[in-house]
Order: sequence, then structure tokens, then C-alpha cells
Amino acid sequence: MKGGIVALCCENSGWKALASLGDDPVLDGVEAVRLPCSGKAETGMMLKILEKGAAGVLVLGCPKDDCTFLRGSARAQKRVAVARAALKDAGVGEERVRMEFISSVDTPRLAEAIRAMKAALEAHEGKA
Amino acid sequence: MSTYIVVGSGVAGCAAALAFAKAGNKVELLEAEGRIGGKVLSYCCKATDSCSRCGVCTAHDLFAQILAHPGVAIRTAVDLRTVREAGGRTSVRVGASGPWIDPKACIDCGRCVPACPSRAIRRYARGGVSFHHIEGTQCADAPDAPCPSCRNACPTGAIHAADPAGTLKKADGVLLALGHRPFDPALKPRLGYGRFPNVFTGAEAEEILSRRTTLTRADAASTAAPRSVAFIQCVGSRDPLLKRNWCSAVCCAYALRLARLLAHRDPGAEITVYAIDVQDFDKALTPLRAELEAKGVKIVRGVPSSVDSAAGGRLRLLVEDPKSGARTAEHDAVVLSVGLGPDPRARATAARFGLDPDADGFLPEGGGGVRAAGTCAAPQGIPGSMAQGRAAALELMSGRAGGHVGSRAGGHG
Amino acid sequence: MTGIFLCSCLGEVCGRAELEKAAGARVFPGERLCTPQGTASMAVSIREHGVDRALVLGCAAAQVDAVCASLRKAACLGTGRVRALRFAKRGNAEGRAASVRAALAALDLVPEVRTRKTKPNREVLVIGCGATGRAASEALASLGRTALMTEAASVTDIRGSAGRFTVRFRNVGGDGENARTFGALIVAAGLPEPDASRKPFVPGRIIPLADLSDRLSGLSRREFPASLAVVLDMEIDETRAGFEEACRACLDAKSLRPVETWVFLHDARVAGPGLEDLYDRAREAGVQFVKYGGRIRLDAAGSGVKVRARDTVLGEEVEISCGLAAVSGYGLATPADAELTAMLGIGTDALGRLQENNIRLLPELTGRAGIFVAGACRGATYGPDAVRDARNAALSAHELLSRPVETELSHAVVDGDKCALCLTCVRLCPFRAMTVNAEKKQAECVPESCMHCGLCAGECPNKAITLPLWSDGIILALSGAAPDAASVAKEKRP
Repeated sequence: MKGGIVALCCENSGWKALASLGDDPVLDGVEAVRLPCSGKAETGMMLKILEKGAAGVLVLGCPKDDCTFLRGSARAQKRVAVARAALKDAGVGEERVRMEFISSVDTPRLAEAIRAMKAALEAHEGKA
Repeated sequence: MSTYIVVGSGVAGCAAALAFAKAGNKVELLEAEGRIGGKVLSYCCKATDSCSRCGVCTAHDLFAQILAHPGVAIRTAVDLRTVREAGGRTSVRVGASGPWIDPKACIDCGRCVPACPSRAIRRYARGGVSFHHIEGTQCADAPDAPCPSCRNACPTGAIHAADPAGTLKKADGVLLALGHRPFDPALKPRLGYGRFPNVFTGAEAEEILSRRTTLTRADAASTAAPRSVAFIQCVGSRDPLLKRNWCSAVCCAYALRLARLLAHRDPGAEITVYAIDVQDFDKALTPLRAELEAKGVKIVRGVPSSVDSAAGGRLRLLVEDPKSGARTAEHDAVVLSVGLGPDPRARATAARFGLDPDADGFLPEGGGGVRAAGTCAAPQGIPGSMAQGRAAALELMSGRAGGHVGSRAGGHG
Repeated sequence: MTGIFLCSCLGEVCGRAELEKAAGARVFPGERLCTPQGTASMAVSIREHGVDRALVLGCAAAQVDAVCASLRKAACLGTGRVRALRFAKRGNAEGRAASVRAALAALDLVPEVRTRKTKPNREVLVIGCGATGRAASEALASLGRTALMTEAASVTDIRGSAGRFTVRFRNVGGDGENARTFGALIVAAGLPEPDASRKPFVPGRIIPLADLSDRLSGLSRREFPASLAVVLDMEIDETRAGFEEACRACLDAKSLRPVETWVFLHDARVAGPGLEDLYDRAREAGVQFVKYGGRIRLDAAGSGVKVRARDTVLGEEVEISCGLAAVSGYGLATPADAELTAMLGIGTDALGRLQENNIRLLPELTGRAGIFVAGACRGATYGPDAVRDARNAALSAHELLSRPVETELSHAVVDGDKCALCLTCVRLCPFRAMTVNAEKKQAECVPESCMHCGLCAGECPNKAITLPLWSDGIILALSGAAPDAASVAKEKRP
């Protein structure tokens, strides 16, 4: 999988969960970018990050009703959907942008989500 | 500015400690175990794409705030040597039953871990909180054979030696947040706990799911999730014969949340919750029940009386049916929703502060300079314990200055 | 000047020479940078060398935030001007260089941020004079804080933000209004009483449970029903409050006259002190509990009331006839008062109650700083829970007003040239921080209410909104995707 995954993380959930993973090898190739809220992640930004060479963008937000800013992760979900639709239309592969709802304490779920995304990206690369 | 002592560093104790500290007071947070945080640190997140409002993540935020607040001093491995009251203040001689690591001073460098000859040092890292702590039962340090290895390895002096004599601390108020003891399922042997590896307690299920994504033991032959799971409610609660005739409040909450989680992760799984009644643990109980129904989770009225083995390592439950007398049901795994009860050590500690428990063993809210909060006072969940801790802190801090309450009448029918 | 502080704990992973090569910025080696002593030594270097942006490199993942916060404070650097990175033991020089460059690029884009301090108004307004409102007022008084209680119906307008809410009241006597300022508001307004003249009620036959005891005590022996049914959970699952009231009402009725009593409910809500005992006593006294599933049907045709439901214990339909039926108001999906909800400008839950069902708000917070909720109006109808809410609200109000309101002026900024007044941000902001500036003909952010989440910036269709400390340039820089020269030139601050 070339290019690595950029994880746009909400500082209240994803950022803390990533820190709990510490030196776990699952984080190889994952670059974490901190946001105040996943609701700040914009469709344009996700596509730009892919354009600049990342293999995938993983948006990590708080589960709905856990969002510190109440609506953020729900908005992020909609923006990710727009990005995925755009990528699908362009024939580039919607797997390259994904949203996961993971709280700050759900470390095993985060590891699983990263592994799943890596697998999906590798499969997509294999097809291309 | 006053000084307060908080005994117990679970969610209720930490909520109270933070309330005291935010108001500018000094707080001594005393914990009997080797690490702060109480039982919440072993509970899992029960969110699917939407939160289940269990409170585990907000509890971790609270612990992070406590560790960062300069007004809170923390001691673990605490042994309360003496407790005295004089002139409205409480004096406590605080000893240490073994060497202990101050989680506020710990920089998480990990140098103590390989230095310990007994491999007694653990690390906790989750939800923005991380620190090292000593597992007292494995630590070899003894009065006649002291072991300074960890203390010598620590670069910041965060590790302290055992202190049998203790230091004197004086406080203007005391908050007891002594926690609970989960019901021991061995007291209901017909439910199969300990006989079958695929019978779990609710607490065990939480602990497993906090570290892995499927409900399987670490030594299980396969990591595949059990496809048919039964939750048995009210184990050790609402039971006059066991002299535990109270509702533990949280078991419906954690069982339904875990059921929702398991159903979400494995859409084909067959999840059944055997309950007497479903308690009102969340404002959104009605939509939750609808969601569970839509996901195929069954809530059955009637609690099985026994769990036995069935073919293929499965489990057979015996359920009483008012119509047919009895029927059986087979599942791959059973979770016993054990209730919360008073901790006998808590009773002894509370007595030293002049607080006597009620007939069931739970502590009254208290008065004067000593209050109780959290599960030692009543079975309750994380948000409730935090709220009660804060409310108890308010009670202790108030009465020092009188304010004015005005009322504006009129304009209403 | 940007300074890079390299902790000795990274010795094996990354050296000074490697960094100086990658970064082109001054490197200050140090020891144990995550301790208070480390912070102090970094602060000294910052002052001596005129460093205005700092990047701290160490090994401890968990200490990152704490280190940034304490160093900012010690060295008086602005928000966002200190970043910390940890390097894993694995990883290569190239990756580390890229991370450092990204962090430095992001640091370069962080503007100077000022803070504004305002003294909050010291008074608290408690809206609601019931038990919850009184508990909140008493708690405030015991903390030495002045509280004013009022009925919700007296309030006609609420404006402002935390520390400074301007509330308009109807005057006593009904003529005219007056206004007053408060630092915080505690809403304990309860829920509207069910309308006893509308469905499911039928006057004289199907009455609100709250009216049952009064009604029975006014009846003569002849008028007293031979049997009565109490219905809980009619539209929504209710709390222990309804269950407790039902048990007590039935026991009270039985103490007046011999009467057959039925309680229809989904579940016995006994998770509270004394409730299991109350349930036992009710059953021992002969109160019959029918645990029904799904919908219950009440029919007041004829001389009595027919109650039909599916008994989930017996697994069959049951129908009983009784002289009088009482329906618990807690089981009806009554929303909070609509006018009050609109005035407060806070989100509601699916039932229209005054608090979104978000774990981070429990128990007393709303989406707006300075506005707190307690009790039935937020859905906590059970008495002890409501009192606990009230105490938490009082403490939170007290904490808010005990110190000056310090507002960091890093709130969302709207570019007037691009703003099309579509009002998306105004509608979207969960904290009511966006308003319309009619003069400038653009949306504007109220700094005191802004929570810096960036939803507005993310959603604006014209990209007219920026969050200065989290601008696109900064985020793209951090993601290793170098922003293009044009946007950097526009964003860069001296």
C-alpha cells in the first residue's frame, strides 16, 4: 500500500485512542492529524490530501451523541459520503476515504478499523 | 480555601475531588488499590456508530483532568492508620501498605517495569490517560526485606516507599467514595459460572471487550465471536433468599448496551436478554428497545434457573414458562448480569468515619463533615455516580457563606 | 523564531544533527522535558533566545497535551504556538524529518491570539419554582450566590451569552415588561401538565394519575369505584417516578376503601432506594400488576373503562373493566414548553425535552455555556435525580461565575466578501454562536459563545469562514500535504 493513511482525528476521541495504541505496528504508515472536531474535516480537504499522495484518508469521529460539539461527527459522516461519491464517480475508488465512529476508549476497535482500511486499500490497489 | 479528603478514586471520588479543586480547595485523594480509577478502567466502550451513553469515555476525561489539576494530591496503596475527629476537622494518618507510584508524577517512561524483579509493575493506557502502577499482590517489598529497585529506576521520584507509620492529614470535610463489590456468581452455582468457560459475568464481558472486539477469552481455541449469546439478568439482585433484595440498576443498562453492541458487530448473531423487568437507565429507552427489536435482539420475560452443558460445547438454559411449565433454550455463550453490592471493606472504613450502612449495607448520604457518594451509597451507573460525587462535594463546601434567594411571583396561571 | 526542543530520551531514535539538517531551525537539547523541571528549562531558553514558536520532541505520547499547556503558560506563548511530537522507537529518519517539517509549517501559520476578560454578572436566574427549582436556589444560596426564582411563564425574552444574559420579564399585574441581567440561567421549568380534556383522557373516567388521590378523597362511598386501573408507559417508557406514584396511589386508594386495583406497565422500575420494598408492599396489599407489551387500549364507552393489553407474562390478551382509570403523565410524550425552548435556543432530544441526549451534557449542561437544565424539563422526572441535577447545575453555575469569563479571540472569522448570508452557519452552530450583522451584511461569530469546533468553517458553501488556529493551511501542512504558495502567502501572519 503506497502513500500511507492520513487519519483526520477529532482530538476528543480518535486522537486519544491513537495515543493509546502507542508503538503498535498497526500504526505504521498512519499519519495522524489533529482536528478540534471531526466536523471540521471538509470534503475538499479529504480530496486534496489524496491528491497530494496519500493512499487513504480515515476520518475518526466520536460516536453520535458522544460528540463534544454535539453535531460534528454526524456532519463529518455526510461530508465523507460526498467524498466517497465523488471518488466513485471519478473511478478512483471510494475505499480511499472512510469514516469510523470510535470513542477515546475503544482502542481495539480502532486497531481493527485501521487494519480493515489497510486491507481494503491493498485490495483496491491489487485490482487497479 | 479548605482541605478535603476523598477516600476512593473511582468516578464518584474523582468527580468530587475535581469539584473541590475547581473551587480553589486543596484535595487529598486517597486510594487503597495500587492505581486510581476504580472499576471503570476495566469497562468497555459500548458504542456502535452512535454512543450508548455508558460514560466510560467521560470517566477517562475526568481522570485526565484530575491528573492535571494542581490542587489534587493523590496517594495510592493507602492504608488508613488512624481516623479522629476534633473541633469540626477530621485527622487521618495516611500510611502506604506497599511501594506506590504517584500517577501525577509518573512520566510514563516505563523504566520501572524491567527493573522490578517480581514483574509487579503494570501500565494503563486508554482514553487519554496513561500511567504505571504497582500490583500490590505481586510486589516483593516487605518490612524485613525492602526492595528499592523500582524507586531507584524512576527518573522523577514518582515512586514512593511503603510507609507503615503514615503522615497526618487534616481536613475540613471527608467524602467517602468506597465503591462496590460485584456479586460473586459462585453463590448461584446452578448458573454454571466457573464450570463452563463460555459463561461470563457482565464485568468480565466488559473487560474482555475493552481489550478485544469479540466476546472470547484470551485462551479460547477460536477468536470467532459466539453466534448465540444469552444475557441472564438480576443475578444476585432482587433476591430475598440471598438477602440481596434490591435492584442493582446498572445491569439492565450494561446488558442492553452490550447486546446492542454484539448485534451490531455480528448482524447474524442471536442475542437474547432474559429479564424480569427493564429499568429506566436512559432517556432514550423506548427507541433503544425499538432498535434492539429491529436488530433481532429478543428481550424475554423470565430468568433461567439453570445453565448446563449441551452438545458441541454449547449451553442449555432452563426457563420457566407460565404456560408450558418449563422450556429449554441453547446458546453459545451466557453472560450473567451480576449486580452491585456493598463492599465489606467499605463498611469497615465508613464505620471509622462514623457512617453506618443501612440494612442492605449501602451507606447513607451522610451529614456534617462526612458524606458518601457513588456505588457505596447506592447501585448506580457512571453518569449518576459522577453527579452524586459532585452534589456531595457541594454539600460539603456549602454552608460557609449564606446567599440570598429571591422569588419573583406573578405572571402565571 | 521557532525553537525545537529535543528531549534526551529520544537519543537512540533521533539526534541533534539529524534534526538540524531536516529542520533548518534552532535545536535546543534538553532532559526530561515532560517534567516541571523540563518545562522550566525550556521556558528559560524561550525567553533568552526570543523564541515565539516551539516544537517539543519527546517519547511520551500521553504527556503531549500537558507539556504544551504547561510550557505555554510558563513561557507566555499564545495558543497553538507550542506543538509537541512523539517519535516511536520504530520509524525512519525520512518519516521523522517529514513530521518535523509538517509541524514547523503548521507552526508558521499560527496567528497571534489575544484574550478578552470580562467580569460576569454574579446573579443566577432559576426558571421554575417547583421542587427542582427550589433545590437549585437553595444550593446556590448555600454557596453564597444570589439566585432569583421565577416561573417560566413570566419570561418573555432571553438574549446574551455566559456571564451576561439579558432576560425580559412580564411585570407582576401583567402590564409592561422589565429586563434584568444574569450571569447564568438554571432551567427547572418541569413539563407541561397533561391536558385532562384531551386524549387519552376522558373527564371523570380516564384521568391523569397526578389527580387520582385528590379525586378519590373527594368521592363518597357510593361514588367510589369498585375497581381502578393505573396505566404507565402509555406512549414512552417512563422513569421510576411514575412507578412510585402508581404504587402509592393504589395503596392510598386501598386505605380509603376496599377497591380492586390494577397497574398496567411495561416494567416495574425498582432501581431506587425503597422501591423494591414498595413493590413488595403493593403486591402484598393485593395490587395486581400486569406487565403488558406494545400498545394499551383504553375504552371509556359504557359505564366504566375497558382496558385491553397483551400480558407478556401470560402471553395472551387481557381485558379488564374498571370504574376509573388513571394514566401517568410521565408515560406521555409531552415535550417541554415550546415558547421556552425557542427562547433558550438550545437543542432538544427526540421527545422535545430541554437537553440533547449527548453523554457529555449529562446531567446539567445544554449546548450553551451558562444555561443549565435540571429535572423533568430535561427528562429526569424521578425526584432524587431531579434534586441531584439541581445541585449539579448550581455548582456549575457557581464555577462559571466565580472567575472572570476569559474569552480567547480565536473564534471563527467570517470573510464578508464571501458571505452570502445563506444562514447555514447560523442554523448549524450547536452553540448559537453565529449571528447576523445587519450593518455589515454578513454572519458574525460571538467570541464568548464560540466553542472552536469548526463546524461552520467546514460547512460554509462559499468557504467564507476560517477558524484561525485550525485553518486549512495548518491542517493540510500537518497532513504532509504542503499547501500551495498562494494560500500560504494569504494566511501567513507575522
